[in-house]
Amino acid sequence: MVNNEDTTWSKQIQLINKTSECNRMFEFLSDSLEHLPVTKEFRHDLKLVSEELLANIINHGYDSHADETIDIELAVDGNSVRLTFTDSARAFNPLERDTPELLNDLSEGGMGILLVKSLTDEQQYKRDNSRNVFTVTKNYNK
Amino acid sequence: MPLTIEIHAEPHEGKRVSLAGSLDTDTAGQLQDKIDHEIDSTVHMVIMDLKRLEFLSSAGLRVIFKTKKYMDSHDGKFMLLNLQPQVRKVFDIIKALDGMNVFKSQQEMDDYLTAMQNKVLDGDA
Repeated sequence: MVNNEDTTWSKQIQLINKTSECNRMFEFLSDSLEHLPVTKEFRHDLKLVSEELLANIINHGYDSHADETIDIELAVDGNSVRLTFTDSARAFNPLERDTPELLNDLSEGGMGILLVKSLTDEQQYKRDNSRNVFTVTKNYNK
Repeated sequence: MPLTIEIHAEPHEGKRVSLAGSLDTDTAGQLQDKIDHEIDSTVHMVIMDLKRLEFLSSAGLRVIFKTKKYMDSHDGKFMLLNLQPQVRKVFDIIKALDGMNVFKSQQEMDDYLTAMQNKVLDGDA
Protein backbone atom coordinates (compact mmCIF):
# COMPACT_ATOMS: atom_id res chain seq x y z
CA MET A 1 0.00 0.00 0.00
CA VAL A 2 1.32 3.38 -0.93
CA ASN A 3 1.39 6.00 1.77
CA ASN A 4 1.54 9.31 -0.01
CA GLU A 5 2.54 11.20 3.14
CA ASP A 6 5.81 9.29 3.45
CA THR A 7 6.49 8.48 -0.15
CA THR A 8 9.56 9.86 -1.81
CA TRP A 9 10.14 8.89 -5.36
CA SER A 10 11.31 10.31 -8.64
CA LYS A 11 10.99 9.68 -12.35
CA GLN A 12 13.10 10.84 -15.26
CA ILE A 13 12.71 11.42 -18.96
CA GLN A 14 15.14 12.61 -21.62
CA LEU A 15 13.89 14.81 -24.45
CA ILE A 16 15.54 16.42 -27.44
CA ASN A 17 15.40 20.15 -28.20
CA LYS A 18 12.34 20.06 -30.48
CA THR A 19 8.99 21.64 -29.67
CA SER A 20 7.31 18.46 -30.86
CA GLU A 21 8.67 16.87 -27.67
CA CYS A 22 6.02 18.79 -25.70
CA ASN A 23 3.55 15.95 -26.04
CA ARG A 24 5.98 13.34 -24.68
CA MET A 25 6.65 15.63 -21.72
CA PHE A 26 2.91 16.13 -21.09
CA GLU A 27 2.37 12.36 -21.12
CA PHE A 28 5.27 11.89 -18.71
CA LEU A 29 3.77 14.48 -16.34
CA SER A 30 0.29 13.07 -16.61
CA ASP A 31 1.48 9.50 -15.90
CA SER A 32 3.73 10.60 -13.04
CA LEU A 33 1.02 12.61 -11.28
CA GLU A 34 -1.74 10.08 -11.89
CA HIS A 35 -1.96 8.67 -8.36
CA LEU A 36 -1.01 11.83 -6.52
CA PRO A 37 -3.72 13.57 -4.41
CA VAL A 38 -3.54 16.82 -6.34
CA THR A 39 -6.24 18.93 -7.95
CA LYS A 40 -6.92 19.30 -11.65
CA GLU A 41 -5.73 22.90 -11.35
CA PHE A 42 -2.43 21.74 -9.81
CA ARG A 43 -1.88 19.36 -12.75
CA HIS A 44 -2.67 22.10 -15.22
CA ASP A 45 -0.32 24.57 -13.52
CA LEU A 46 2.55 22.09 -13.54
CA LYS A 47 1.91 21.29 -17.19
CA LEU A 48 2.06 24.98 -18.05
CA VAL A 49 5.24 25.50 -16.00
CA SER A 50 6.96 22.57 -17.70
CA GLU A 51 5.92 23.82 -21.14
CA GLU A 52 7.38 27.27 -20.41
CA LEU A 53 10.66 25.81 -19.14
CA LEU A 54 11.04 23.48 -22.12
CA ALA A 55 10.24 26.31 -24.57
CA ASN A 56 12.77 28.54 -22.82
CA ILE A 57 15.57 26.00 -23.30
CA ILE A 58 14.66 25.22 -26.91
CA ASN A 59 14.14 28.84 -28.00
CA HIS A 60 16.74 30.69 -25.91
CA GLY A 61 19.28 28.07 -24.86
CA TYR A 62 20.44 25.97 -27.77
CA ASP A 63 21.67 27.85 -30.84
CA SER A 64 22.10 25.01 -33.26
CA HIS A 65 19.43 22.97 -34.94
CA ALA A 66 21.30 19.78 -34.14
CA ASP A 67 19.66 17.41 -31.70
CA GLU A 68 20.63 18.15 -28.11
CA THR A 69 19.26 16.62 -24.95
CA ILE A 70 17.15 17.97 -22.10
CA ASP A 71 16.81 15.85 -18.95
CA ILE A 72 13.76 16.22 -16.76
CA GLU A 73 13.33 14.77 -13.30
CA LEU A 74 10.08 14.80 -11.37
CA ALA A 75 10.46 14.13 -7.64
CA VAL A 76 7.67 13.79 -5.09
CA ASP A 77 8.16 13.88 -1.32
CA GLY A 78 4.62 13.73 0.04
CA ASN A 79 4.24 17.49 0.28
CA SER A 80 5.52 18.82 -2.98
CA VAL A 81 6.45 18.08 -6.55
CA ARG A 82 9.89 19.15 -7.69
CA LEU A 83 10.72 19.45 -11.38
CA THR A 84 14.34 19.73 -12.49
CA PHE A 85 15.35 20.61 -16.04
CA THR A 86 18.98 20.04 -17.01
CA ASP A 87 20.50 21.03 -20.34
CA SER A 88 23.92 21.67 -21.90
CA ALA A 89 23.06 24.94 -23.60
CA ARG A 90 24.99 28.16 -22.93
CA ALA A 91 24.71 29.54 -19.40
CA PHE A 92 21.34 31.20 -19.03
CA ASN A 93 19.51 32.07 -15.83
CA PRO A 94 15.89 32.91 -16.63
CA LEU A 95 15.44 34.31 -13.10
CA GLU A 96 17.77 37.18 -13.98
CA ARG A 97 15.38 38.33 -16.66
CA ASP A 98 13.66 41.56 -15.63
CA THR A 99 9.98 41.11 -14.99
CA PRO A 100 8.36 43.65 -17.27
CA GLU A 101 5.72 45.97 -15.91
CA LEU A 102 3.91 46.67 -19.12
CA LEU A 103 2.28 44.28 -21.50
CA ASN A 104 3.97 45.93 -24.47
CA ASP A 105 7.34 45.08 -22.97
CA LEU A 106 6.54 41.42 -22.56
CA SER A 107 8.49 39.15 -24.80
CA GLU A 108 7.50 35.52 -24.91
CA GLY A 109 10.38 34.64 -22.59
CA GLY A 110 9.43 37.38 -20.13
CA MET A 111 5.87 36.13 -20.00
CA GLY A 112 7.03 32.55 -19.60
CA ILE A 113 9.17 33.17 -16.54
CA LEU A 114 6.42 35.34 -15.01
CA LEU A 115 4.06 32.36 -15.31
CA VAL A 116 6.66 29.99 -13.84
CA LYS A 117 7.23 32.29 -10.84
CA SER A 118 3.50 32.78 -10.27
CA LEU A 119 2.58 29.11 -10.44
CA THR A 120 5.37 27.57 -8.32
CA ASP A 121 6.51 28.04 -4.72
CA GLU A 122 10.26 27.97 -5.29
CA GLN A 123 12.58 28.44 -8.26
CA GLN A 124 16.31 27.85 -8.33
CA TYR A 125 18.97 28.08 -11.03
CA LYS A 126 22.51 26.81 -10.91
CA ARG A 127 25.30 26.24 -13.42
CA ASP A 128 26.78 22.85 -12.69
CA ASN A 129 29.49 21.10 -14.70
CA SER A 130 28.76 23.21 -17.81
CA ARG A 131 25.07 22.42 -17.54
CA ASN A 132 22.07 24.60 -16.67
CA VAL A 133 20.06 23.12 -13.84
CA PHE A 134 16.71 24.77 -13.20
CA THR A 135 14.49 23.49 -10.41
CA VAL A 136 10.96 24.49 -9.46
CA THR A 137 8.95 23.24 -6.51
CA LYS A 138 5.20 23.30 -6.11
CA ASN A 139 3.62 22.37 -2.79
CA TYR A 140 0.36 20.47 -2.63
CA ASN A 141 -0.04 19.93 1.10
CA LYS A 142 -0.22 23.51 2.29
CA MET B 1 -2.74 17.62 -27.84
CA PRO B 2 -3.21 19.18 -31.28
CA LEU B 3 -4.66 22.59 -32.07
CA THR B 4 -7.72 22.93 -34.29
CA ILE B 5 -8.26 26.28 -35.97
CA GLU B 6 -11.46 27.31 -37.76
CA ILE B 7 -11.84 30.72 -39.37
CA HIS B 8 -15.25 31.88 -40.56
CA ALA B 9 -16.59 35.15 -41.94
CA GLU B 10 -18.72 37.32 -39.64
CA PRO B 11 -20.88 40.37 -40.43
CA HIS B 12 -19.26 43.81 -40.63
CA GLU B 13 -16.11 42.56 -42.41
CA GLY B 14 -15.39 40.35 -39.42
CA LYS B 15 -13.70 37.01 -38.97
CA ARG B 16 -14.19 34.53 -36.18
CA VAL B 17 -11.15 32.48 -35.20
CA SER B 18 -12.29 29.44 -33.19
CA LEU B 19 -9.60 27.50 -31.39
CA ALA B 20 -9.81 24.02 -29.86
CA GLY B 21 -7.17 21.94 -28.06
CA SER B 22 -3.76 23.25 -27.09
CA LEU B 23 -2.18 26.56 -28.12
CA ASP B 24 1.40 26.02 -27.02
CA THR B 25 4.99 26.37 -28.19
CA ASP B 26 4.51 23.48 -30.61
CA THR B 27 1.25 24.74 -32.18
CA ALA B 28 1.52 28.57 -31.97
CA GLY B 29 3.23 28.67 -35.39
CA GLN B 30 0.21 27.02 -37.01
CA LEU B 31 -2.07 29.77 -35.69
CA GLN B 32 0.34 32.51 -36.76
CA ASP B 33 0.47 31.08 -40.31
CA LYS B 34 -3.34 30.91 -40.55
CA ILE B 35 -3.75 34.46 -39.25
CA ASP B 36 -1.09 35.83 -41.61
CA HIS B 37 -2.95 34.15 -44.45
CA GLU B 38 -6.53 35.08 -43.51
CA ILE B 39 -6.41 38.39 -41.64
CA ASP B 40 -5.48 41.49 -43.60
CA SER B 41 -6.40 45.18 -43.43
CA THR B 42 -9.78 44.53 -45.13
CA VAL B 43 -10.82 42.66 -41.96
CA HIS B 44 -12.40 45.13 -39.53
CA MET B 45 -13.17 42.79 -36.66
CA VAL B 46 -11.57 39.65 -35.25
CA ILE B 47 -13.43 37.53 -32.72
CA MET B 48 -11.21 34.99 -31.07
CA ASP B 49 -13.47 32.29 -29.69
CA LEU B 50 -11.63 30.25 -27.04
CA LYS B 51 -14.58 28.11 -25.92
CA ARG B 52 -12.84 24.82 -26.73
CA LEU B 53 -9.29 25.93 -25.98
CA GLU B 54 -8.05 23.71 -23.15
CA PHE B 55 -4.45 24.86 -22.79
CA LEU B 56 -2.67 28.14 -23.44
CA SER B 57 0.99 29.03 -22.88
CA SER B 58 3.02 32.21 -23.43
CA ALA B 59 3.89 31.16 -27.01
CA GLY B 60 0.16 31.19 -27.79
CA LEU B 61 -0.45 34.44 -25.92
CA ARG B 62 2.17 36.07 -28.09
CA VAL B 63 0.21 35.23 -31.26
CA ILE B 64 -2.99 36.56 -29.68
CA PHE B 65 -1.29 39.85 -28.67
CA LYS B 66 0.28 40.22 -32.10
CA THR B 67 -3.12 39.82 -33.73
CA LYS B 68 -4.64 42.43 -31.41
CA LYS B 69 -1.78 44.83 -32.18
CA TYR B 70 -2.31 44.33 -35.90
CA MET B 71 -6.06 45.04 -35.58
CA ASP B 72 -5.32 48.16 -33.46
CA SER B 73 -2.92 49.36 -36.17
CA HIS B 74 -5.75 49.75 -38.69
CA ASP B 75 -8.49 50.72 -36.20
CA GLY B 76 -10.03 47.28 -36.31
CA LYS B 77 -11.82 45.59 -33.43
CA PHE B 78 -10.40 42.65 -31.52
CA MET B 79 -12.55 40.60 -29.18
CA LEU B 80 -11.96 37.61 -26.93
CA LEU B 81 -14.86 35.27 -26.30
CA ASN B 82 -15.55 32.33 -23.96
CA LEU B 83 -12.31 32.15 -21.95
CA GLN B 84 -12.26 28.94 -19.93
CA PRO B 85 -11.04 29.24 -16.30
CA GLN B 86 -7.59 27.72 -16.92
CA VAL B 87 -7.06 29.98 -19.93
CA ARG B 88 -8.34 33.06 -18.14
CA LYS B 89 -5.88 32.36 -15.33
CA VAL B 90 -2.97 32.73 -17.77
CA PHE B 91 -4.30 36.08 -19.00
CA ASP B 92 -4.83 37.19 -15.40
CA ILE B 93 -1.26 36.38 -14.32
CA ILE B 94 0.14 38.36 -17.24
CA LYS B 95 -2.44 41.11 -16.51
CA ALA B 96 -3.20 40.94 -20.18
CA LEU B 97 -6.92 41.64 -20.24
CA ASP B 98 -6.67 45.38 -19.55
CA GLY B 99 -7.78 47.27 -22.62
CA MET B 100 -9.18 44.18 -24.29
CA ASN B 101 -12.80 43.48 -25.14
CA VAL B 102 -13.57 40.24 -23.32
CA PHE B 103 -16.98 38.55 -23.40
CA LYS B 104 -18.19 35.62 -21.35
CA SER B 105 -20.78 34.54 -23.87
CA GLN B 106 -22.03 34.99 -27.41
CA GLN B 107 -25.09 36.82 -26.04
CA GLU B 108 -22.97 39.33 -24.15
CA MET B 109 -20.93 40.01 -27.28
CA ASP B 110 -24.03 40.29 -29.48
CA ASP B 111 -25.51 42.84 -27.05
CA TYR B 112 -22.30 44.85 -27.20
CA LEU B 113 -22.20 44.78 -31.01
CA THR B 114 -25.88 45.77 -31.23
CA ALA B 115 -25.25 48.69 -28.85
CA MET B 116 -22.27 49.77 -30.98
CA GLN B 117 -24.36 49.50 -34.13
CA ASN B 118 -27.17 51.57 -32.60
CA LYS B 119 -24.67 54.18 -31.52
CA VAL B 120 -23.47 54.51 -35.12
CA LEU B 121 -27.04 54.71 -36.40
CA ASP B 122 -27.98 57.34 -33.77
CA GLY B 123 -24.93 59.31 -34.77
CA ASP B 124 -26.02 59.26 -38.41
CA ALA B 125 -29.61 60.31 -37.59
